Amino acid sequence: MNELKYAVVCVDDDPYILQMLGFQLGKVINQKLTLLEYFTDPNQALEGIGELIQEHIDVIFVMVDYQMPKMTGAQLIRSLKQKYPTLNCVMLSGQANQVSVDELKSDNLLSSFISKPWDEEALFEAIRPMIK
Amino acid sequence: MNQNYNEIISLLNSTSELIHRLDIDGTINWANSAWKKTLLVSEENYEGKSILDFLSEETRGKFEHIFPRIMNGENIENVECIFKASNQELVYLSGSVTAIIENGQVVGSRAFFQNVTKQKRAMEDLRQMTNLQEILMRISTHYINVPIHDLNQIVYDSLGDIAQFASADRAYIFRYDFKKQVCVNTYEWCAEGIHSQIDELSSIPLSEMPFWLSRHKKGECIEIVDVEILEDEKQKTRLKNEGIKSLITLPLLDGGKVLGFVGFDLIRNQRTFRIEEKNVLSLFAQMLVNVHNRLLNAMQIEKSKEELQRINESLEQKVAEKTKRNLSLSKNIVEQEKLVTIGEISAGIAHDLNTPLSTIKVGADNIRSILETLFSKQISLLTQNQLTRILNRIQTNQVEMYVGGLQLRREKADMLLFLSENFPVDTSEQEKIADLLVKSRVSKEDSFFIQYIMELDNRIQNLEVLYQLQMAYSQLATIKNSSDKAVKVVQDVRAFIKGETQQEKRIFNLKENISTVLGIFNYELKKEVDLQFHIDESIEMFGFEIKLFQLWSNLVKNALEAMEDQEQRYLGISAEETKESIIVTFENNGPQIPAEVIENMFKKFYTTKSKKSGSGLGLSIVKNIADEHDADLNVISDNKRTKFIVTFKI
Repeated sequence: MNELKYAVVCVDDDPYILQMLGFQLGKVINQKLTLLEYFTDPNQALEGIGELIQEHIDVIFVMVDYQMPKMTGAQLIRSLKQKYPTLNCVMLSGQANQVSVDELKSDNLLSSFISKPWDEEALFEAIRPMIK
Repeated sequence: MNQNYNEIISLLNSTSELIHRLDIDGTINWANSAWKKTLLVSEENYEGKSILDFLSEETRGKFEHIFPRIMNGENIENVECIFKASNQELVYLSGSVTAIIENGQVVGSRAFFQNVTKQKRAMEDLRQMTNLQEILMRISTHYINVPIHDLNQIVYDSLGDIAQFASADRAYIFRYDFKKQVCVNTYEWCAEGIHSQIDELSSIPLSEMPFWLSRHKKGECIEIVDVEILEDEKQKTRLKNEGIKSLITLPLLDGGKVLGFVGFDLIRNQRTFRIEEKNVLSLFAQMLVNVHNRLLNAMQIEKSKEELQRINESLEQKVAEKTKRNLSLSKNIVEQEKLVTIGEISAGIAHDLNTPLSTIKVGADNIRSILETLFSKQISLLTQNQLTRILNRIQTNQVEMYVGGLQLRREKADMLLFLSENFPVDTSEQEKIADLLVKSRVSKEDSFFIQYIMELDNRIQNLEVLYQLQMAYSQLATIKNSSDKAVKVVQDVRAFIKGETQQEKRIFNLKENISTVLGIFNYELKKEVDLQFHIDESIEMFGFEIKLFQLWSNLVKNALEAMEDQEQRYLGISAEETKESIIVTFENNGPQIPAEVIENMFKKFYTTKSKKSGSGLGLSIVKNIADEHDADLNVISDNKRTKFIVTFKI
């Protein structure tokens, strides 16, 4: 129980997407060492990720949807990167604003971009460099 | 004799006239003080030089003409010539030249001149100003009379005319684009041999031209007399790269608004602009603004004309069809507006479909991989009875969609404690069992099932199968849900498009009716709108369902457009049922609507959205449909909120 060292966080306002993601990530992530956490609300995600980092848990990456109420994924990633510049952020989206995604990319804030609907292989391909 | 000579010399030196004496070959023999002073020649250093060295190019030619005549003994009055001072400045002189004759022989010439440079310059200026003013007059009459499609050419031509008279090498017009924070070169005129820049200057960031905008906003012109001495290095480099030596730019002001600027570059020579010139240039700038406004108006009129014609044509067509199909005119308009709306929301529909379709696709992949795992190793380890038991459990148990890692951990710790108290087995196995139980969403209250599992020899295998099947089922449920969502999107759109089929009023549920519309706008509404949708489910309405879709959707669309520039967007939709009426209120926090707009906003073709594709029909449709339902429409707008209130009488 105390061996928790890492965390992976998914943020999407659609719980079904989170469920699907959770299943797939569970295949490649050692859940003994790694916490798989989900948020449907970007503000709660900000808070939750802050708590994890405070508890010295290494957040391997955060996977974020673009279109969410209250805050876009791009805004969430900007806020996260401002606080935790080394955090890996991945965007998973079907209807992202190309301009803001390009801006994120050119500002070097995006580790990877996956478009919906996605293939399991593409997902693993994108996160493999981060989970080592 | 000598004293006389000195006296004459001093007399000649004290006059303001320029006097010189030339030898027969044109060498300067003597010149008086005024001459030397005017041509900036120091004492005696004209000596041995030819008069030709002090003449301008033009006068030199003239001199070769006149000199032989003088050498023939002729005296010439009213000679006008241009001398060149040692600093290369031109000096205009006017006077007479006479031959010096000794013993019947011409031995030289002498000239008496007055310096008329100032008069000349003034006349030259006057001529130039008159010319400029003439051009302005010509341009302004052109501007007024020319057909709209020739205006561009006129602007270009006049830019050239003005530039030539201001002796500029390049003239241009820039438009400020505040949205993109750039300025854009829209017209350019170049003198012969001057390199065009317009292609390179399609968008200059305002930050590269510090102070330009703020000074133009104040109506000030910006004059750079010498680019070389600019302090701002960035600007200096930019201007130097364009080869500019001096420049002047004047703001294009429309009322208090700055639209852009017109400017003139000097590339070959550097120069300053005189106040009169600046005045004329700013007159020209004002003229350009007038042209711009005229163009806008004309385009607006043209557009409205086309729009009207288009609508008329389509109306005419409809009228013709009306006799056949008994369709009303207003329906055609509603139809057009509906198409506009559908176009606008199609992006949203794409998103709303893509999300559930993603889930379906990924879910199908996941289930395939679960099935492969199950059949390749796990299922064969269980008996038929064990499988039936598991399947029963899954079919009767609702599964949660997703559980966060922290919660899983808490539950697992709890479960471990429970197991060690009730079903002690070895620790590593216990850990595995607790993990699978929790992941399969079996709670410790379900002790009956846990007991059944713990009594099995192959309990781990049973739990593995339970977990995998549970996952498969929950993903199936998700797929089902997502398909429902996708179907709902399609239904909403179809209901919206279907339109005319409903002939009679029906009773329907108000909340469901408005929900369908919100479903259509789901994508737009998700974009940072604080939507407060509170309508009692019990409210039933009597009316045309489909038409009310159009009423609500126009109110939603209107609200979204009104709030476009708002940082925080709020859309409140509520309804109240009283004994006599049902009152539906759409409230948004867009800017206040002026009273005269409220007065006109329900009229056909009235629109304030000049730049957008507003057809001016949306709110007139609202009015039509409200009328058909005998409902009252009220608008209340202040600087905080705008409310559209529809009151249906019962």
